[in-house]
Amino acid sequence: MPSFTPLDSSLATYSFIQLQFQPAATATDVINIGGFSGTCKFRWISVSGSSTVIPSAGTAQRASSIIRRTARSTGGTSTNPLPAVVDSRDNPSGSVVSLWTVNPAGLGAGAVTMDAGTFTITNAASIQDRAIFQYELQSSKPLVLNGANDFLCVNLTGGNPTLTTDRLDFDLWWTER
Amino acid sequence: MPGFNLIDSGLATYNFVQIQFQPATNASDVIMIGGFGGQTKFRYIEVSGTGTAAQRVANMIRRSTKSTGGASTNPVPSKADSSDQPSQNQVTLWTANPGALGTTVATVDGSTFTMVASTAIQDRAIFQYEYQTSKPITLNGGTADFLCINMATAIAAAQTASTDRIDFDVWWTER
Repeated sequence: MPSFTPLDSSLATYSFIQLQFQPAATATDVINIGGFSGTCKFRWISVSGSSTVIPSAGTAQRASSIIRRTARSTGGTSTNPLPAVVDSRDNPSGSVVSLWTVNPAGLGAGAVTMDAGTFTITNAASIQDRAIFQYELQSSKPLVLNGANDFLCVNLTGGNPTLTTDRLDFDLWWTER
Repeated sequence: MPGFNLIDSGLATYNFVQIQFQPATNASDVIMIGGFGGQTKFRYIEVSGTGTAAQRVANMIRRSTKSTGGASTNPVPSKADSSDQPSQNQVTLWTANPGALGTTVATVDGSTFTMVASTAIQDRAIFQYEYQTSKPITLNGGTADFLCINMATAIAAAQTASTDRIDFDVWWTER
């Protein structure tokens, strides 16, 4: 059976961008995406950042973990910014984005770390380091959420703790069907 | 199991390139592209620059109305294939900020990049949508769908300065 790559995808595509974001100190879950009843496939995630002060030696590395949860993290202080529709003809995303500025009090259950990377916070006059999670056009599966009880979180626990002087960039792209 | 890839695209392809561009101080929208009645798909966007070492932001903002006012020109996009028709999108390039920004629909993509001294290698904000399983940024026509490259930020140190010299490279297809 022949296979081919179509020139353009017909999958409804969404993005969530946050630039120069001030996280909570010692942040845990910062972003949570999920709740769509169908299949949600993550295609690209990038996490990077800089600091408003010159980072001290031994404090600049940040861990970004991509964690699957079976329940949404709750509590703390969060907003629900709307994802961008990449093709203006598509319907709005069926996924809900939560963005925490104060850590969730209760982290969602069933945590499995699906991917992770370390990046280094630089001062604001230096070039950023980036943790990049690339799942476009590959022969293995991307990160896939199936149904309303499957959530993907960007969690910053594990490296040097985040500081309120951090200014983080997040760039997430996914498709829904 | 056999497989094949298309060797060449049949889509009419256009680009707009601006090198060593001096933006407005504290620039907002710098470039706006839109107006084609059909479908416009952005394939590659790159923003970089030199100047005093500092960070800058590049946001890709979809607007449902045009930004207006300020001082702007309408440079003609290049055709990648000389046998194609001219682009039916209009490019607007601002040297003085638009007086009124168009209605924001969403920030579709964005990145931070760092301005470096003119003796250093550039950092680049790259937005790559070629050959992927998700959709590229897609405009669907006419007078209500525009893509803007916007450099506004509330962080004073990251706002553009008159000493900035910025490179833009934007590629899209029309059908």
